[in-house]
Amino acid sequence: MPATLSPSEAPPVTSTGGGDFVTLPPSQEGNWHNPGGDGVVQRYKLGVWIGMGGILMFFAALTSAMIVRQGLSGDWVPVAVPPVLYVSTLVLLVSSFTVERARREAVLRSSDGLRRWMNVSAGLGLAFLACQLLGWQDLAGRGLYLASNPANSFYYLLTAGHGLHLLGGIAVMGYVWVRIRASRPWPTRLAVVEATALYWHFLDVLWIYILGLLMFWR
Amino acid sequence: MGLLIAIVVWAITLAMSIPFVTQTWWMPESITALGDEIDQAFNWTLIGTGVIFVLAQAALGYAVWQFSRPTDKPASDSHGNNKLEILWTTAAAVIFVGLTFFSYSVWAETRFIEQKSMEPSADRLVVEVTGQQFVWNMRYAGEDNQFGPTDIALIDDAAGNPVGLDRSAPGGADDIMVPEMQVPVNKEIEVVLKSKDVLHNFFVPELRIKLDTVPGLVGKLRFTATKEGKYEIVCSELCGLGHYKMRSFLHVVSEEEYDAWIAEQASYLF
Amino acid sequence: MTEVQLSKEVAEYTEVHRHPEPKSFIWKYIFSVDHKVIGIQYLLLAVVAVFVGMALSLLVRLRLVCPECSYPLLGQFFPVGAPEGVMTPEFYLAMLTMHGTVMVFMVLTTAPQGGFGNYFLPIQIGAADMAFPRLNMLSFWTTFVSFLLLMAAFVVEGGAPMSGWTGYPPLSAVPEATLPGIGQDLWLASIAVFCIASLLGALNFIVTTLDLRAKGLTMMRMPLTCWTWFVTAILGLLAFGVLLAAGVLLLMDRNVGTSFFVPAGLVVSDKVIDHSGGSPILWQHLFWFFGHPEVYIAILPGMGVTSHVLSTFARKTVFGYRAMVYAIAAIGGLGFVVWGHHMFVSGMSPYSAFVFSVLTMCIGVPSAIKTFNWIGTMWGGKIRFTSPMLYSIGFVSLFVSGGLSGIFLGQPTVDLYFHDTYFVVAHFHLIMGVAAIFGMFAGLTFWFPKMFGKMMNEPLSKIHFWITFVGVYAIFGPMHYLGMLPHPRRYAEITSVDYLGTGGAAELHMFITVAAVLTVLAQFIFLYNFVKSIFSGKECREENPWEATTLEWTIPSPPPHDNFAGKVPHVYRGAYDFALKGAKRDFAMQCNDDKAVYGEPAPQASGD
Repeated sequence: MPATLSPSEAPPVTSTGGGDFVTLPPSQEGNWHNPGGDGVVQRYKLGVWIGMGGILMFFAALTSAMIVRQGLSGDWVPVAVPPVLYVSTLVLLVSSFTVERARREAVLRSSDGLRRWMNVSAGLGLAFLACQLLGWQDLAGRGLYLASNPANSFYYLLTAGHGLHLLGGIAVMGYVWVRIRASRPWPTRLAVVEATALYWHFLDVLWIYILGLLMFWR
Repeated sequence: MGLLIAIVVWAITLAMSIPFVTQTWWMPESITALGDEIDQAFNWTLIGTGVIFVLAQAALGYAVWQFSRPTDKPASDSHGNNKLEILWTTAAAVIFVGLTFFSYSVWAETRFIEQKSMEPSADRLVVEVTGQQFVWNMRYAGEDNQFGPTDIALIDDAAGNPVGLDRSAPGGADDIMVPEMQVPVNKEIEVVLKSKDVLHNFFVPELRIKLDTVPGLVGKLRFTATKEGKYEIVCSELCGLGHYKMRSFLHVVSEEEYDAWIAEQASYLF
Repeated sequence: MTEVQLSKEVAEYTEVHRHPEPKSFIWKYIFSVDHKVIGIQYLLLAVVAVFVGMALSLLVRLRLVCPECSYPLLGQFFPVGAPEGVMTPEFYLAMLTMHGTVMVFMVLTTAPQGGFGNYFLPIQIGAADMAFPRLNMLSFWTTFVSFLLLMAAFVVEGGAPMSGWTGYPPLSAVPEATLPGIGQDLWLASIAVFCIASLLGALNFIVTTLDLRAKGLTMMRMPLTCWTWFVTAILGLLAFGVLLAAGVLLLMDRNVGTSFFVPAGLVVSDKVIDHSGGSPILWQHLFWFFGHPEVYIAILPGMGVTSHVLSTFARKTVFGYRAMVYAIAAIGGLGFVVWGHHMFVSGMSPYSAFVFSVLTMCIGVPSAIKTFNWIGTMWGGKIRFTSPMLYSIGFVSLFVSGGLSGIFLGQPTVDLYFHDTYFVVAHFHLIMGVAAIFGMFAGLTFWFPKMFGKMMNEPLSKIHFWITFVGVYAIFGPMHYLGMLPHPRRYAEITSVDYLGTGGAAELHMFITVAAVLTVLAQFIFLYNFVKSIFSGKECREENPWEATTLEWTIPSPPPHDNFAGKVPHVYRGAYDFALKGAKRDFAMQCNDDKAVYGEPAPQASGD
């Protein structure tokens, strides 16, 4: 990653110009002193990319623990994935599209559009979490609690870990809403929206991975 | 100041090295052929690292002393020296990685006991050692050369059954439980390591080997002691508040003494 | 906003948006988003923690030389752990566990990275703050919560945990095996919270380094300090997530009855423990996957400071800058594939042990490069003996001593004898303990004038250096001999093992304890010097008292709120341009263009 971006490399969104910030020479794009450049968008996205590394290591550790634990002793009773997870998966996939839509609205600088699609996405996120809770209820209904069996322990642990991260994503969506209300300059709003969208897609992929793990590595 | 630093660094180097040369505080004498080989590996490592240690500290002291003396010459504008760098790097790599390969065969002998080439001798003596907070339990198979089955429901420390041995099951009646280990000299011994509760570590310094006893797993060590004597078995993995006093003995005795001892132990059973 | 004069060293600069300084006390000093304030907060936390850790180590030392001695004051504070002032073996283990935990997490991980890194990374790369200032604040306060949780373990019923800083299950997982109480749970919670804080911090450091460098500051022109902070952050990012996962699993094993690490059929005092099928070894793998990189998280920043200080006070460029960078990266990378050498005697496959061994030995190579280059940096220089220089020379000596004992422990064959003995204690204390601490001493004395606009008292610093340097060798040198006996680690007493009594362990322990008491006392000289200098040290308003080259020395001392006051210097050269031929001075700052360095006409550019 170069320290500065040449004008030709910079995405077109900066060319539309902002309202309430000082325009600075192109050599300073990519520096945070400049709240208006698209550097701040890049930085937020870079932050999410780096953060993914840490989150992935967390889930990689759980995965390896799961594989080792399963191979260890004869007490592993595979748990059938509750059917409601297919619904939750669908909801999450759809939410990725709505988040993308919200992002585009932000690029077009439409406060209303952004707010609308952000709300839809957050709603879908909550719906996903509700489905996950139903999944837990399903398991509990079958008498499969957290400590009943290592397979169940991992089921609860992985879904809870993912759910907490998603809850964080929803919290950031609330923050975007606050930023819109506070009429913060577009580039800083856009930065948060872009980062949220990237993070949301990541959680989507992460969920597919966890679902695969729960379904096929029982 | 430069000379003072140099002298102190050199003095510390000397002070640290002397006990290694005079062997003031030293390992107890090894009692196995394998232990001798481990000592060899240790000695080579000591020589290799000792030379590097002395050279590096000497060079450090020398550089600090020499290049702090007042001089009209400007500091060198050298940015480095690739040739020296590569030479030094290669030397370090050869010494460090070489040491591992050098001691590889010893490692193989110690630990690759499952391997074909390391087939255990048929008439080896098997002793089962079970660690618990904070004692060692030794079990001999007895006359039938067969360990009886155990069951955790039968465990009763007070009644003298710390491992839950089923005396009524086949093979169980003649098992001998003792708190200290007695083995004949010049005979291959296989130690089977188990734990009842937490991690412990079976360590006899004279044998030069140690292995964790892990609950749920079975560890194996093999040795042939060539010197009679009484040696201490110490616990070398933190196992709780009595860790420091978890100790037992390994008695290496003559074949006859061992036979007499095992017969005596067996006589208590019936 | 105060008007800040731009340094006359700066050849050219870029105007950037300025940030207003917060006015109220709370936002300025407590919940500050200023990386400099946060850096100092981290440092103060580490200073508190290091004195707690030292006090604990003193208790450990005192009990070793006299298990039955009574310390009435101690009995007042810990009526259970030390009835009538006599420490119980379980109290000994609790002190030992907390000493390790406090030192490793709250001192060695916070001060070099969170403290100095936070303060100087942005300034050295020409940024006004970290990439995410609010996240930065969050990292510190999360760390603080973690510290409070850890301290709470002292006062709860049952006291602090006693399963060692490595927290090996089943000892840490089965309450029946130790003392009942929530000390171990608080310990785990503290570690988990600490992991989250460190992950956030690591993310911030990485993005800052990649994204906020001043114009002209390429990666290969960065000061080595920045390189070590950068690589340390990558290590933290990849390692702490794994420890977090392990910690959550262990917490669940303790509290909700899962069996990740606890096998079936455990019997403690004739009582069968209700767990099934877990693996104690699994914890060891997860823990050391974090634990080994953690060693480099502690020591790498110290290496960076040492390189930086040696070059500055030898008035000579770093010997083999590129090799140093590659060595830092290699140490970081290899750090992730050697965790198995902590488990040679835990019953792992002998094949993997061999692989781990070879990889471990490979770390000796970049370490050797660094040592060679440090000496090479001084070679042919004109050394100035300031106190940071002394600490850095001490660092090199300790790094060599502590590193070489690793060659013994990295070979499984030799490790069979030395594993879990005092030889290991000597090894890791020298290298990740005191060497890293010497790096911090060097950093603190070096940057003190910049941080506070005052000088530390040089004679006092030097006295402290001499006592501490000789002192730590007197403490940890003899531990190698204890390891030869071989004295197993974590023994509350030496009376139960005959060969320790006859082998001279008591005398060695006495010598070590006396040395430890004296060395700890000497730390109060440093504390006095530090506190006194902050309030009434000799004024030092000079920008660049050490005639150093990097960007932090182009701004006032202490630096204004947004560092460069809206004018970020352009960078023209590498970080260590000393003794350039034909230059007007014996050093060239990174923001000096050739005209400033050589006068007219400029010769060929000196590149990076």
